[in-house]
Amino acid sequence: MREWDVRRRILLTGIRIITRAKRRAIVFVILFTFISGLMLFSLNFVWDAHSTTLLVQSKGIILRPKGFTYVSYDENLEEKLARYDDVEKVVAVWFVNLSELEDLGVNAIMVAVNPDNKWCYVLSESFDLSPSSLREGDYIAREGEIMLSSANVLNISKNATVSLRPSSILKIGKYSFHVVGMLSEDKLPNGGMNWIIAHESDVKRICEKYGLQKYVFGYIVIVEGWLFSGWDNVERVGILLKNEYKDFEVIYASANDNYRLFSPMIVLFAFSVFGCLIVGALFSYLDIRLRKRSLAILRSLGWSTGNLRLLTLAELLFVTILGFFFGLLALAIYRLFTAQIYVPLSVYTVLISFVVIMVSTQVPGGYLYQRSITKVKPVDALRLIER
Amino acid sequence: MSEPLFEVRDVVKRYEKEGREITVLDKVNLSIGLGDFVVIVGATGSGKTTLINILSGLDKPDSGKVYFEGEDMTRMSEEELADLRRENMGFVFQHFNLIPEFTALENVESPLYPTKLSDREIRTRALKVLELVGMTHRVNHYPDELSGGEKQKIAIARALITNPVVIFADEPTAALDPQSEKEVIWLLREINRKRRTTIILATHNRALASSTDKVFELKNGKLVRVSGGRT
Repeated sequence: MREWDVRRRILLTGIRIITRAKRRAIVFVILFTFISGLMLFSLNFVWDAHSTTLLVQSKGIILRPKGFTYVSYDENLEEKLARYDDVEKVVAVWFVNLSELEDLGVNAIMVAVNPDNKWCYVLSESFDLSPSSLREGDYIAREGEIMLSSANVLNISKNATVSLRPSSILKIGKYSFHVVGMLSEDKLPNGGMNWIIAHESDVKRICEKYGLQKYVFGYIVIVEGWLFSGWDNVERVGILLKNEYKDFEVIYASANDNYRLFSPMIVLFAFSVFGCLIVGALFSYLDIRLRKRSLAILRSLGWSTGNLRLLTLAELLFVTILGFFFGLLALAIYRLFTAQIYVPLSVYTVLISFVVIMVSTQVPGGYLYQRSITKVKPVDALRLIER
Repeated sequence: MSEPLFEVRDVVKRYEKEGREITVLDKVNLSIGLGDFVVIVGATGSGKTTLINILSGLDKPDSGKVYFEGEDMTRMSEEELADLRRENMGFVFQHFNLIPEFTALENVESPLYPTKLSDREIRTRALKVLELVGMTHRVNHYPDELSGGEKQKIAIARALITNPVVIFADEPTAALDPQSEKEVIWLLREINRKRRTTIILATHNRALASSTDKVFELKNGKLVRVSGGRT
């Protein structure tokens, strides 16, 4: 039998002990559920929202041709914008008009989207090409994929009516495209009539092949800084743009005050880390205090201090992990019924929260166990009872 | 004469109580052989438990030497003593000292959890010793569901599971009714007789000793031979 099997047996014994100490286990699982929920909630906001509509809402500036029309795509302007101080990136919402070339046989405009910047494609409430507008199917992930308006499954073709649904194939010139998703008609101008949303590389290729003119609906400027905290940058860059580009409207998407959420979220995160430290230490303290006699008996039966440390750590580990999963569940339930701003929870957030919770509970807990268990003398088993 | 298992030489143990130093064991000398049934009698507070704790390595003397199979226990580390206890010694305490969170079966198995024996081997051994003490019908009960006598039988089974060469029984019948007391002492004698396990029984009740036992009395810190042995 290997050393690991002995450890496994001791770990399982620890889990058995804590599941039998029902009241204590329940209290601490509830505490860890609460703390884990807070941590997941706060990290989710400050971390995951970078890949949601909140990215534009909290630190984006929209530069739109006055009158909400379109103009020729100026790639020099895009580069110039990107060179400003405090600008993280610039995303142009550009397109080509396929009807300019009858040979293509498609009467539509083809809007270019880069899946890496997909959450930036928001020009107004009714012009949102981000995944939040997806009604059916998937968002474009690679070349050769396209999305259509949900109201525009018909009449894509100039000469014939076609019905396109996710998984349909559309031929444009010599290129074939796979329909992967449908965007909500409410989020596209004119219901997205005769619109094809395609991968940026595909649109560039068609453009170069057939010499089509590029147009732009606007530019999204994302400023540097944390989500919900970059208001100073947004304002500063916004004033610069307003003064320099008179033909454009400068719209602050962050005017909705979302940026104010940053500080509370950081406080919440710090509070949850602090909570983990305190609850982890409290669990270990009570464990040693309430079970000193049992630990001393085991010591008198030949258990080493290492065995006892493993046993007690297994108890703490079990309630922490259980609390974490309930915290995850609690967040999901909260989202389902009450959350107003939906930010998808990423695997990274879950993993980071898990690691932070584990470290911040096991370190002080383990330290207390280490200190206390070496003081547990087997002879205490007898003395404690005699008292 | 049986071969020497324990040799105790000039052991002294003092405690401080209310600012006064009390000598609990005063130059105690003792020799115990393999297979002996040793009874240490003495009034409450006479130092029986202290002597047992020192013999088993649970406590250390202030001075003097304790040898187990020729090895000086007073020079061993805590971890070495833990190994020594697990491999050679079993304990039966007055208040049973069962782990409340474990079932009877798990209590019996617990000394073997940190060993490299397989789960199956541990279970087999536990059931065997539970059968020996007649407690197979209570394996899944928790200590607080058992009577005093049953608890003590479980404690004896736990002491037996490691196949120890010596069992320390510290006032094992003090908390029991007369019937259970009789059963427990009978069980200890059977173990001594059949397995040749050395039993060291500390008790205030001189009547528990039989004519074949080595009986010692602790009085004012001194160990005095009463019958059957030598100090």
